Amino acid sequence: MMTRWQKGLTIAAASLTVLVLGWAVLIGSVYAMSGVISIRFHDRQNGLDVYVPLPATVVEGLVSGGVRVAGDGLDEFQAEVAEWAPTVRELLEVLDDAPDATFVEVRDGRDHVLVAKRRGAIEVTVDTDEVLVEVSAPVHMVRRTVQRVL
Amino acid sequence: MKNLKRSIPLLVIAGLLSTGTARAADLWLHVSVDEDEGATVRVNLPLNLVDKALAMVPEEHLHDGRIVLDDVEWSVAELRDLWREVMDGPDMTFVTVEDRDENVRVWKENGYLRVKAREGLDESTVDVRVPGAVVDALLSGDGEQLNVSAALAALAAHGEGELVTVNDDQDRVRIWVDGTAEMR
Repeated sequence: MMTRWQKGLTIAAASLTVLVLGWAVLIGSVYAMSGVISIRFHDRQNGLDVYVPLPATVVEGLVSGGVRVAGDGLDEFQAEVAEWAPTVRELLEVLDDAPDATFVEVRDGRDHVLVAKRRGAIEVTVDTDEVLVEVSAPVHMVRRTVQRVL
Repeated sequence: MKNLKRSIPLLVIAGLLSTGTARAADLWLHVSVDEDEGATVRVNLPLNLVDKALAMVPEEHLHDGRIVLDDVEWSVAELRDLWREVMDGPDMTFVTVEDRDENVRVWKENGYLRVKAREGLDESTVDVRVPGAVVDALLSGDGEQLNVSAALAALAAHGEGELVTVNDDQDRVRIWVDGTAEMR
């Protein structure tokens, strides 16, 4: 027989477990549904290695918030890029519809540059003696974000 | 050799221009460059993406531009007049240059504009095979304007095929259109 305290602790532990698992499931679902924007920067000279994975929905939310508070600054920016905005939107539409492929790959000695679409995400890799930069972003998210900003 | 190297960007642009919209979503433009020193460039782009991307090229590169061929500067209007003469004529060779170091032939054959050039003792070669309809469309603009969109549409309507091959002692360049996303 459990004492009152033991029962209380068991219930508290079970609640905590459910809470943690719930958050894990929620965050995992957000990652899985919206995709992940990831940026990796590795400076080979000084060993700095930064990897930032962000759920696409979080970035979209931040951009939406930024758009709301930008005000006149955004209007000026939109006016400056108005000439290119339709083309950029069409370009992203085509890119979104395109199948996965390696679009550009350049190899020159140790240097390697890659622009590709993999699993619906646009990936850019620059790998040289000095740095490794890897950026990945779901095309549909980039498309929606650009539509909002432009 | 220098002439061949100078020609490579022009040939790449010719390849890009030789691309449209009718079947653009199904066709891919491929560019492959291999240098003897080991450097490689691979480009695989859906034709409709090329079409949209070219719309972002600053106008000064496409409008009022003059085209330099073998150190002779041609205006787009002059090229347009020349092309009309070519199109109205039968299949024939227009230009033949033969000397000890260089061999160039430009001719029209079965609706294609063909250019073959061989240079130097190392037998560097350039082989260009552009559908006449694409050149037609490219030169269908007004004044000094190249109609790139029309050229792209004409290439898409034309479908798969080899466009440019360059082989010299240092570089190998190939530009072609086919229905696959990856290079074969």
